[in-house]
Amino acid sequence: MSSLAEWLPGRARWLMLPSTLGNTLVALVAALYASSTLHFPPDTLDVFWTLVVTVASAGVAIAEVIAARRLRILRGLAVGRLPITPANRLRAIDEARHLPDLVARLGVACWVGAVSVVALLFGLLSTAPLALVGRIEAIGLLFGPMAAVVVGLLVGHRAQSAVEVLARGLSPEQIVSSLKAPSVSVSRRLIGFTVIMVALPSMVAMDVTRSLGVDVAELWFSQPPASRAQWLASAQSAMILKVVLLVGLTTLLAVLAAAVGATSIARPLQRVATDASALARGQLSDATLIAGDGEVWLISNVFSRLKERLVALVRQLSASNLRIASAAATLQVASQGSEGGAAEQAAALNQTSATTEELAQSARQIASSASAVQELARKTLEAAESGLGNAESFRAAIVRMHQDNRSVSAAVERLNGRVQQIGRIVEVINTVAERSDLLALSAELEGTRAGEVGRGFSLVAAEMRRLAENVLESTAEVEELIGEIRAATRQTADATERARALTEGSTALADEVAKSLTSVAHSARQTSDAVRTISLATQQQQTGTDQLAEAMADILGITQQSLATTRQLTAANERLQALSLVLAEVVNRFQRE
Amino acid sequence: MKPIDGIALCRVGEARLAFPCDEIDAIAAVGPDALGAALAFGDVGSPEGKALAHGHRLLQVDSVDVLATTALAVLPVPAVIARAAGGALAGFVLLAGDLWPIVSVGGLLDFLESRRSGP
Repeated sequence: MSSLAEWLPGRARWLMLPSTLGNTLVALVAALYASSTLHFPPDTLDVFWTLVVTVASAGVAIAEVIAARRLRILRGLAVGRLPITPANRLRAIDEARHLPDLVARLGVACWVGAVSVVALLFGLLSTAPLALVGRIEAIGLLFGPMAAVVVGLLVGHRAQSAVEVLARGLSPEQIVSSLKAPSVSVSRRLIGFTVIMVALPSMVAMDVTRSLGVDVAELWFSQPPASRAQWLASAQSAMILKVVLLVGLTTLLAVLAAAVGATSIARPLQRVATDASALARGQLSDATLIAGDGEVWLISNVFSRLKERLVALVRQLSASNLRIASAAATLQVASQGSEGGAAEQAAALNQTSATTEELAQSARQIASSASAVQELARKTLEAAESGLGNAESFRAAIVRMHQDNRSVSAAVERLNGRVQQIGRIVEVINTVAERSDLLALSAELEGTRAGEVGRGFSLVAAEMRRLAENVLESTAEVEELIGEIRAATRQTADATERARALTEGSTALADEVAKSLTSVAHSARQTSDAVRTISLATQQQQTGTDQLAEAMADILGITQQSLATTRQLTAANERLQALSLVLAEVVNRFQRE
Repeated sequence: MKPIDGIALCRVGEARLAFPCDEIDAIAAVGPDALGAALAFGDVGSPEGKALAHGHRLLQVDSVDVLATTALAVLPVPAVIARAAGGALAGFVLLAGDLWPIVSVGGLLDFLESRRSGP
């Protein structure tokens, strides 16, 4: 960029300098032509040349101003008024590209305009005939296009150099995409150039010859007859010298223009050929813009873009090849590892698949067992609930038994009291019977001692004694029964007491049993719910396990396919590495400069 | 030996004793002053029974039955045996195949008192 900044100052004037020189050369030739072919009235020659110099100077000044305005970006870059950015450089390139056409069109306009103004003013300010004015106008029409062609080619030659310098570092693709294609083709330029540069010298030669011939003829008659031959010889020599001088200068201008034009066409093509040859040799340099006109511009730009893309492609290819080689090597290692891993995975999956199948079988058995457990839990819950009802009934029965036991205990107490009363009565009866027995014995004894008289009495006494003894036996039996009743009552009381204690303990026990059965029922309900949940989960697990088994079988198949694919991938990697080596050799053929 | 009219058949433990009714004043309940006939057999006797009143003394036996039959034949007993028995044995009666010794109530009471107050 610093070199561009150093290059830019004064480049606008440098570009326009060929225009000034070319127009000056053509103007000199035109002046010589005018002085050789035009016949000015006396005292008008000074006016004519004054007008020519004045108008020509004005025309050059106007052309300079217009051209300077058309090179506004370039001048701005040169003086630092504008920053040197790619956008400004592109705009400057566009200005430089269009400058030759501008200069050519401007040259034609200035020449024709200036000569017309000179002719008009000369006609007004002098007494020159109208024919002379017309011939002056013809000079403008004759030399204007020639000057335009010459300055256009000269400026175009420099403009190409300027464009290439401005385009350094910019992408040809970027330049081409931002600039318009040239509208004038090389063929049209060549046709115009040929017409102008071939026809002009011929016309100049013809007109000069005709004009000098007329002058020689007119002067020949004014010469004395004796010296006419000698004068004619010298006049012919002078005429031939003028013709040769004018035609030579004109032809020289044409040749100069042709040389410059050919260079403008040939130089880009030579650069294209040089770069193409370097490419053919494998020498790849950075693509730069090759400036040209018309189709040459198109060709050079197509080539530059092609080269740029080729450079980018080779760079990408080189980088990609490195990455491919690295990736292929990594992939090779990974593929080998993956192949080993896939084989191990396949083996592991085989085992896993078998284990999964066993798991599915176990899940089915678990589901069946869970169903049985669920049924068992349901029965346990029913039994617990039934037991809870029975416990409640048992507790109620125990409570009733406790109350009955209290009643029995009270009845036994009352019975014991009655038995004691009966015992006391029996004791009284026994005492009475014993006394009766004694009395009967005494009576029988008395009767016996009374002899026959007391026999009947003794019999009665004996009978009474038997009755008393029967009473005693009965009372003894009654006492024995009372004793048994007392023993039984005592046993009953003891049993009742034990039963009361037992019923009290049984009540507490029944409460504990009821609580326990409630807890058991609650637990059984929870167990039933849990077992139902477990059963559902087990069924879902069974379904999931079946699906897992199917998925494992699918995974096994996929893994086996993956193993085969990995082996194919390993082989492909080997081929890819070989291909990468071949590609590296191909890329290395393009030795980048 | 002349027949006897009316005897009281008494049992003392396993022994059988027959007392003439005319020697018994009354039959009463056993009191603290009664002498147990069982003592004659070297036994203490039952606390229960009946008492045969002879005068102001009482002889305790276990049971008493009065046999009102008159003119019972009394089998005699040798004098040596009567004296060896303490002088209270008066003979024997045969009743329903069983031989009952007829003992004097007074003589037995004397014997018993002698044994109670003996050396």
